[in-house]
Parts: sequence; C-alpha cells; structure tokens
Amino acid sequence: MVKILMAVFFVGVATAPVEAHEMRQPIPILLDRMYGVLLLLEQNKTAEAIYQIGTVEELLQTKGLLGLTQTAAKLDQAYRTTVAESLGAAIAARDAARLKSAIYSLTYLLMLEKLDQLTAMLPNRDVRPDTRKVVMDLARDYFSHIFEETFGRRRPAQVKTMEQILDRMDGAVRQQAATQFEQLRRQLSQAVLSHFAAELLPGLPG
Amino acid sequence: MSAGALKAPPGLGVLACLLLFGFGELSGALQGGYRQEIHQYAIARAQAHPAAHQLTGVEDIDQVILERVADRSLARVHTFHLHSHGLGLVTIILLTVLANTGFSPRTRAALSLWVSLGLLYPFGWLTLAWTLPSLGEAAAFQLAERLFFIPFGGAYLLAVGALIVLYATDLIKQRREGTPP
Repeated sequence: MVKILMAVFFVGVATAPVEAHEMRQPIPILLDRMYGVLLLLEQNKTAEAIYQIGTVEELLQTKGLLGLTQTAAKLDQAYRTTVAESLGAAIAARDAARLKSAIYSLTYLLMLEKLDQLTAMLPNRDVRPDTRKVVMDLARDYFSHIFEETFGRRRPAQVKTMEQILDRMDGAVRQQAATQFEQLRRQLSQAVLSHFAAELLPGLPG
Repeated sequence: MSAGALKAPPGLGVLACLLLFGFGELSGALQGGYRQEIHQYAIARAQAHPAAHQLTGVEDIDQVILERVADRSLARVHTFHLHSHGLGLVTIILLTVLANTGFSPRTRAALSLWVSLGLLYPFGWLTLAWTLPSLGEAAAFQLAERLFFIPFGGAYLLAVGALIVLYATDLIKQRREGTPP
C-alpha cells in the first residue's frame, strides 16, 4: 500500500507542470495588484475590480509610492500615450473591456520602461551586472505575471515566441551585447503589439 | 593538562568573551524587536546615496534594489549575532586550553592576548551592516575587511595556528620525556 502511495506521489511530482511564470524578483505591489484587478475583471466582477484599484492607490500612497493613475500619467508623459486618460474613463464608465486594455497597456509601458533603462545601461561599463539583472528580471516579471499568465493557455505559441525572445534578451544583458539587445527589444515590442493588438490601447510606442 | 587539575582561563579573557556574548545578544534583541525599523532606516540611508547603489530613478527598479540593500544589511546583523556567540564560545575553550598547557607564563599570556584580540573580528559584520546602505556592498566589505576581518580575523587564525603548533610540539616533547601531557 505504501509502495503504491509512493509511486502515485512520485508520478504526481514528475508530471506536475513546471511553473512557467516563475518570478525572478519580489513582485512590485503595483504589478501584483494589477494582476488582481485583471483576475476580477476576467470573472466579470467589475465593481470589485474598480474598488480594488481604489485600495491600490491608497496602499501605494501610504508606502510613499506612485499610485496606478500617477504611474500611468508619468509613463504617458514619457511615451506620449494616453493610458491615464483611458484608465480614468474606463473607471468612470465601469467599462471592463476598456479597463483591461488600460491595464495591459500600462503593463506594456512598464515593461518598455525597464527595457529602455537597459538600453541606456548596457553601453555603460560602470553599471554592475547585478543592477542590469534586476532591471531585466523586472521587465520579464511584468511580461510573465500579466501577459504570460493571462494568455499562456489561450495563445501558447505566441507567448512561447515572446518568451524565447526574452530568453535571448537575458543572454544579451548578461553578455552586455548592446546591439543584439536593441534588435531583440524591437522584436519583442513588435511581437507584443501585434499579438495583443486587440487587447492593447492604440498608439502605443514600439 | 589533566582533567583533575583544570585551571580557569584568565579573568580578563573570560570578561572579553562575555562582552562579545552580550553584544551578540543585544544585536539579536534589536533584530527581533526593531526589524522593521532597521529595515526602513537602511532603505532611507541607501536612498540618500543613489550612486552607491546605482539607483535609476525608476520607482519599481529602485524599490527592488533598496529592499535588497536593507535585507543584506539585516543579514549582516544576523551574521554578527551568530559569529559573536560562536567566537565567544570557541575563545573561552581556547583560553581554557591555553591556561592548562605547560607553556611558560609569558607564552600563555601572549597567546591568550592574541586569541582575545580575535574577539573583535565579528564587529566587521556590524561595520558592514552599518556602512552597506551608505557605501554600497563592495566598498562596505572592503572597509570591514580592512578594519576587522584582516587584522583581527587574521590574528585569530594565526593565534589558533600558533597554539596548534606549540601544543603539538609540547605534546611530542612530553611524550619523549615520558611525562604525562
């Protein structure tokens, strides 16, 4: 009996799916809560999702961090986008689809922000490998926690393609290969923008 | 050295070990009681030295870097806590061994002093914990290394090495003369 139980246990362990979206750094509060909001929206709990956004703002502000709308406004200024406005409008209209779009777009911009940091860091020999790794890990975590987690099952081939690009970007960051990284960064942006065109707000930068 | 006539180690040496134990206990209590405050303080000090930690100005990146600095700072306090207890205990044993050897009083006193100096070595971890948020990890480690790890850690290693050699020599000599060690 014990042998049978052990066999079942080991078969279970051997076939357990490997966690694809393994986080590489502690999850930023904003990312974690955006994921929570998306989950609620997926379950058609729009009112709860909007309430959750309110609590995120409070939580982040008490910790001295930028809130969701402030983050969106900051990124809008940097990338000439209108995510903050869309977010506000979606909340006011209680429009779940638009709210999801705003969150996906914000995630994309947050990822882009990290990748742009890496573009600036890579030619600089004074930047420690540890620092570069943190930035790359965070960019990847934004992708993994939101896009991979949400679309991994629905569009596995596309998500896998983007994961492979991210793997190569990881390698380029480790080797400090700025040109290769830049090419991959463009590939990734194009892939995200084309594969998730229906989910993202229009006019996002590549 | 026989168990029946075990001599106590020098009082000052024992006091030094007890002091190190005390500091170790204090650091443990601080860690337990004020963990959050130490964490916040380390973050605030690291924020005041952005260049040392290569802060980027991007909130979520910096948050990860600052949290890591604070965690590492706290981890060094913990290492001090562990080393101060371990080293205090080992030093009491070494001082007891020394007190019971057949070395001349001058050699015993010199070796006891030498071993006791090693008790300052764990303070390198405290230095590291304290300076890491302002200097960055590499510079803080270099400072701790220069002030504590190399002089006192090195002294301790050499003292233990010297004690082993002298003790072994004494043992061989006593064996040859047929006297009990």
